[in-house]
Amino acid sequence: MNGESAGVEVVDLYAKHSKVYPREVTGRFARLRNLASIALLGTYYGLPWLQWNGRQAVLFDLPARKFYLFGLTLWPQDFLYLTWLLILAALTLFFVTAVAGRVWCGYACPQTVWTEAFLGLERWVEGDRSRRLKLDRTPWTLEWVTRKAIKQALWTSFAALTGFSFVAYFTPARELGAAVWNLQLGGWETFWILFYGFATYANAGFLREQVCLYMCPYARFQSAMFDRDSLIVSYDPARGEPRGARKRSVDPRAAGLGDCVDCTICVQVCPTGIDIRDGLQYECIACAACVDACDDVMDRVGYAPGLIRYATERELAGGRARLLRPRVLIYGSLLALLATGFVVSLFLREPIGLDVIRDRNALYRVLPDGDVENVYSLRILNKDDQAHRYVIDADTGGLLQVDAEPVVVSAGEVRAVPARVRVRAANIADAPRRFRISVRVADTPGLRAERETRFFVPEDRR
Amino acid sequence: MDPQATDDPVAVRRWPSRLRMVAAVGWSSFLAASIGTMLVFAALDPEMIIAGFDSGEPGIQSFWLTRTGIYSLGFFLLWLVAAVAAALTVALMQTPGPEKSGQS
Repeated sequence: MNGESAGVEVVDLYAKHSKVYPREVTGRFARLRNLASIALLGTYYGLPWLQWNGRQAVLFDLPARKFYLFGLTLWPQDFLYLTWLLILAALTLFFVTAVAGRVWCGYACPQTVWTEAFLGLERWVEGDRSRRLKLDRTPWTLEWVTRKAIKQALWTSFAALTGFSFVAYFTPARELGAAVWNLQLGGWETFWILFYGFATYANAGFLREQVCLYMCPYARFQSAMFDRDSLIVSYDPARGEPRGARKRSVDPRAAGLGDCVDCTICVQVCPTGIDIRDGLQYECIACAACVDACDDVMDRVGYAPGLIRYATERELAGGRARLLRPRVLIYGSLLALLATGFVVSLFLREPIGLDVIRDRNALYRVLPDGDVENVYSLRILNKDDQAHRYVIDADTGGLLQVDAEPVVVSAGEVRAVPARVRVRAANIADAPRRFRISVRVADTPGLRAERETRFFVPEDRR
Repeated sequence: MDPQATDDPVAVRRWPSRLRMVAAVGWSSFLAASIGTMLVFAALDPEMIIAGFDSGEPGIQSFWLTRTGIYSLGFFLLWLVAAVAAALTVALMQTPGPEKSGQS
């Protein structure tokens, strides 16, 4: 290939063709990417097995409608927090993109991470790029069939494990594991394990970077988050042009050449098949494979590294990189504000949910002895992990009498409790128009919730 | 499956436009359905639906009429609805305007 003209060996990391024959990746960004992959995959597969206070640490228990996040238990009523978390995640993505470009795509996107994992398995079974090419030139030999079968078996098992781990976030992992072991898996669990496993296989084994090209919305939004000071993987045309092949002995300046030896290795390693020398393109997933590859070539031909590097547009134009700029400050402060608010509100979260609904049929009822009674319906939600006994009261210094039995609500349950509140005939004129009805936990002082509601008496008695 | 193609280093699998459309419709509606499922079932407990259907008759219902079953059905229903909307959008965008078709 063209690389020979530069006196270097062609190093294909990741060449993208009608079939992919990627080669082992080397270089500092490749190492970083592998490290990120291992950390993320480890977290994904390991987290369902982590226990916390005798239960699964992270479990979205859909059948029971509660989410466990380490020490925290969230109910559907806490949906706000989930939304909040999603908004935080989106803002973080904006912020990171504005500062450092598409690091998400290159290092953390599940599509990238699982594709790398599948490529790793392929490399392990079928050997490096040249061996894979050779293997496929003579299909249906014993070796071909064996290696392909082993690869498919590994891919399928890995995909199935991925599906299993996915479902383990929604059904307790230990129960799920036991069910699989005893072949007693429920219908829906089986379905979702297969569905997610199949999706993993299709996305990481088959579709790969086509997902980034044709299906990823983030790739199309990126220009909205970018500015001239965002870090992007970029080719330095001022240094590289005019590009061209040359003998090692030739002084490029004397020959009127830039540093680019036009070996096209940066194009060959690109998983999305673009030429980074054409500038920023939406297809670029910032994997930095071309950075590693070009640095390697520069090293071999004896030039300084960094012809392709992480740089901002302003830097390439000869300016200085600016980190603090309105976009970054706005995203950053919004992010800090929302994150602080999130943490604070999580800590201040009431462990009791309380709704007070007035009886719809009558504003008030005059009892035979002249007392006036209002009827309310209380809905008490116990958001705590254990059952509690709740005492219902009013804050009127004895003016209003609450007639409601203490009620036991088990963990995560909602109970509707009728409460009759009455005022003595003699006190009707002093009855408050509004008062606060409160619910407190009998065994835990300080654990209470209250809601303001209205109290009606006949107007002519006021 | 064609090793010859690898001789051209820049040859990249580019999808035909129809396949791209299917991928875009399928994926965008999948994302929308994921968010939709979260929103719907945060507010709606499937038990309410189950209570409405429950005839006390055992059988196939015990599979569909569980919370997980309703969540799953809800997700696929939303996916279908979103995919119809996305596909219609694609179809409408492709319809030539009157000025192009030469008729008004």
